[in-house]
Amino acid sequence: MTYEYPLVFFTVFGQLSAGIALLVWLTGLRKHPAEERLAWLVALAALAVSGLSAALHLQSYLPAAFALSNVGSSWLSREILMGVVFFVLIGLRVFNVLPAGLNWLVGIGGVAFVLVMSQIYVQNASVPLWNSWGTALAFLGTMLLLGGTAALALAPEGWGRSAVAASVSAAVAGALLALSLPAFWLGGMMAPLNPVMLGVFASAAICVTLTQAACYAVGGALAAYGVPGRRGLVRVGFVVVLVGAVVGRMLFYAANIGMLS
Amino acid sequence: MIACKDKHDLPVGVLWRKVLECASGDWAEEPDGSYTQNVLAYYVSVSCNHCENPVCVTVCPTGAMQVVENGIVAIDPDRCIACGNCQWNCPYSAPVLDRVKKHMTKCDMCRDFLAQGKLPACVAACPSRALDVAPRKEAVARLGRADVAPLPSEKLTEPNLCLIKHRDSLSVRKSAAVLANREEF
Repeated sequence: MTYEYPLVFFTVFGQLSAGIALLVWLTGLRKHPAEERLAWLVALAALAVSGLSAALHLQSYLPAAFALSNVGSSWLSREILMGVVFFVLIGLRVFNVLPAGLNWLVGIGGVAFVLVMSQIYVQNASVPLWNSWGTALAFLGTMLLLGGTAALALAPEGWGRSAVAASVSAAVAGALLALSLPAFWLGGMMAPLNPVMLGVFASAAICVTLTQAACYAVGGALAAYGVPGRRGLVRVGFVVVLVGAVVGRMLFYAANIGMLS
Repeated sequence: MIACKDKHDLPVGVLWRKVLECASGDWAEEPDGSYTQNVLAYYVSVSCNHCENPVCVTVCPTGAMQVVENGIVAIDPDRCIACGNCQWNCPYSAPVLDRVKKHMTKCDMCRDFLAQGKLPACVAACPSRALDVAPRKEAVARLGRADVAPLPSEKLTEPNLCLIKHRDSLSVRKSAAVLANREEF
């Protein structure tokens, strides 16, 4: 099994950045300018980590200038384009070129980035375990989960009840979506894949998914316990959730079982 | 495989042509209560199939993967960023990363040999003349596209690979058939 570490960090940190952008808009964080600015800086940093990780996946950098030349048919070209657009949107918001009233645009830009990112795998008919809408749901779920817990970790003291509720709801819904992916894998396993490879993967998938779920449960519990004012606990909870997302994504890349494996 | 590696000077770990061993079989109960085995194995030599619907060309972000003369699918190394998306999307995993050259590589049907009127290196070297190259429409009309296990369904990319089927060959839909020598690749 291969884990594609650069892509694990590219997708997870990209989804973290998109989740923060979405939750900044949905929770109305603009009413707290200091915390909103910190959130945008964290989103920008996460997207920078994501981009650097993606670069580590490549072997050759000079031809990257051609990376947008196949936008008409390649979801990878479209992902790069959306990544650049989202990066520019966050950058403009960090430097206040975009007004806070356009936070919705940055949030939707992040969702579009994650959705386009997922299509690289959803549309890949040669890897049956990726080739389902479960992949898109899991990517969007990770975005909501990380965005929700990050919003709680970055929230101002005495944050409004509705904003906390929106963050918690996003995190819970996201965790459920992210953990639903193995159910979609059962459909992919009906394809004529090497049964030996499937057996090894399935046994790993059970252990790793339980670990992932445990990270989400423990991280979520720490965040929930810390919300009334223990910000340190919330941040520890966020890190535990982030570790769970990384572990789950490693399993996702290990699911790259091709037709001739 | 050796002729291909020799002609293209491929490094260790880079194989453009693979000889797949398809294996199947089990114990079968006879009407008299006895058991007999129906174990079988056969080989399929496969490289890039220069598909009619080449998904590698569709998904390549830089346009490095191109359809050139005679329907050959070839890589422009000056445009390849080695993202590996072509390999993931190819049902035959034909494109292979060459870590020395830092770009994806694959069978180009020995374009240079064909231009000189020579046969591709694998065809010329095969001692039992099991491989041949022919105009694709003619070959497909005569033999149809390859649809035997352990290859994936020909409907995915319409490969320009035609086979005279082995007597024991199994349909691609038979999941009981396994690739028995995957460690070799």
